Amino acid sequence: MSIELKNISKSYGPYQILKNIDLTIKTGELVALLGPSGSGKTSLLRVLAGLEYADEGTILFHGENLTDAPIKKRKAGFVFQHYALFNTMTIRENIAYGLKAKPRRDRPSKKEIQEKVDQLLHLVRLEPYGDRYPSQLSGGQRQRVALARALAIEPHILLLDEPFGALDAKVRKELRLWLRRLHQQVKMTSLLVTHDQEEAFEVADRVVIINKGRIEQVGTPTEVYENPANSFVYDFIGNVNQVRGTISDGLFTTGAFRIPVDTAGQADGIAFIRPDEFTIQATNEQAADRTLSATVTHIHPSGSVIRLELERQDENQNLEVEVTKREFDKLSLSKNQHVFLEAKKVKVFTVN
Amino acid sequence: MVSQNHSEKKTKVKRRQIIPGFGLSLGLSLSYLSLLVLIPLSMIFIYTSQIGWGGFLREISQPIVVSAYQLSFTTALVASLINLVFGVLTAWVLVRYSFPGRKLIDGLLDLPFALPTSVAGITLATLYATNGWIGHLLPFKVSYTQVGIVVALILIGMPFVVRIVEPVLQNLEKENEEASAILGANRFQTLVHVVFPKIRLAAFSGFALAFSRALGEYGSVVFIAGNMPFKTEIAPLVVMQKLEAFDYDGATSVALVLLVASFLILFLINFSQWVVKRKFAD
Repeated sequence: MSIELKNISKSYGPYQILKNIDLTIKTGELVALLGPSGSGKTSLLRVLAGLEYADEGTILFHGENLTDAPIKKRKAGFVFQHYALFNTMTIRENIAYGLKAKPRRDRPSKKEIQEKVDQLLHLVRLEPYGDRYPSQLSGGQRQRVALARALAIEPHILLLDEPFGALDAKVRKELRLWLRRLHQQVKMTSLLVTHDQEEAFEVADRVVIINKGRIEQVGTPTEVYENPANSFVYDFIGNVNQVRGTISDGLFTTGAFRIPVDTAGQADGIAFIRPDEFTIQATNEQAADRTLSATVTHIHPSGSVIRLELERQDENQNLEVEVTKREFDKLSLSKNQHVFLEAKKVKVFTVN
Repeated sequence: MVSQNHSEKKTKVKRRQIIPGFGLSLGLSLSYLSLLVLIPLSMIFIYTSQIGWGGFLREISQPIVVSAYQLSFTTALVASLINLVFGVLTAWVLVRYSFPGRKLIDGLLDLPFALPTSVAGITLATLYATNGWIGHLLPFKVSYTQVGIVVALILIGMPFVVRIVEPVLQNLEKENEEASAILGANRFQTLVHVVFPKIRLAAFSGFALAFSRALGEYGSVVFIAGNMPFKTEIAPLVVMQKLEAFDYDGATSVALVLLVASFLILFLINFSQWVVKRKFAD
């Protein structure tokens, strides 16, 4: 089932939290809504579920207009960050809740409900825990119960609100991969809200970057990482060095660093350079344009990637550079050494 | 009473404590408790034991005493059941809706705790008398009947259920109800299957406390009850009358039954909390 959002806007009092959101999610796709806290991503999810209503705009589920439809009609499964399990019911009762709540004419028989619950317990790998209470389960197990409970009513779409936000790093990672596999199995149109870019990139088919109620970029994880649409996206997804400078006559300049840009006229600009997109050189023989001269101030020698902190010589600014262990050994760098950093890939944005 | 801390189970008192004054403060509070609660209460047991089982049973099986017990227990039960229903409703209204005057009503609810019970009794007796403001509107007599007793007991027991259920309702996660709605349950199903199970323990505690209080209430009831033996004479009044007649054996025997009933109720509250916490607590 596809989802189409057209021009969705919503305000809480004077604060506009969603501004003209347009988004289409294809059938069977897993899309991540990625943004900082307060960006409106959870509100968008709640509007989709029918827990809140948009002030403006249209929501289409498979072409059917459900903008003002009550929660029930949307047939959405929802997974909350803090599980929201019914702690006075056993795991089985939790999972069966949606089926038992159906009006009598649609309600499956007791035996069918039993079978469905067994099936779902198997799916979330919690067969031995059916008769326990939520308080007797770990966080990761509880979230799997929440997912089974959401799937029990055979929803048309699955909405996940920071589902792994309350879990520790290791469990998060496991559940992430498990969710990815589960999605490949059931192929349900799913929307995942997260503020963790690693999570979004690892799980989703497409990523929607949202900030201050506006969509900044939509694309596959590779597209977004390789080609951030603007300075916000560049800054938000992953570590990046920001070098300030001026643009004039199609050239961005900071100190001795110069690269051509498309922008005409005069403006202030920021160059974005990822830590792994530098080449370190001991000397600057070719006197290349896109080179910064800097001094090594700190070396973090852990893992397969060595992180270096450097200070620019022409200006008081710290840079972060990552090199592979092999390259680091070849250069035999030491603290306080003077080096030249050639930027392999730079993206310049004008500052408004 | 309600939120006792069960987590600290120590077999022996630690010798070294970070916060000084443990011995002194424990000693003081224990002797204070003993003087005011433990010794007077145990006196009732000791005094009653002097007349033996036979004497005790004879005292409490007098027809006038039995009928007073019946009256006290039934009126307390009816009043606290009514308080249970309306207390939960009031708590729900105060927590879930915002309306002008909400804070005022919330504050007024404590009035029955603060109000001198005799004042409450006189006011109710006048209002509900056959020629009183409310009484003349009603087709049946309230003041000087058993209905009057129930009215007084409702008033003095009113805050218990509200005050205990209120914080529990406040702390209910909204997400639980949202989850229920998304799973297709209607408002009524959500209320019955999700909300009520969460507040039933608090509601029961409030009910039991209100019942316990109503059982021993004297001040407000004597003004509105009329105090006719076998009709509107409550058990605490029987104790009072026996004391006035210097029948100490009788008075303590009747009192002992009330005391044991209170203990049982307290025990029941704590036991049910223990059971529920063990099962569902996070």
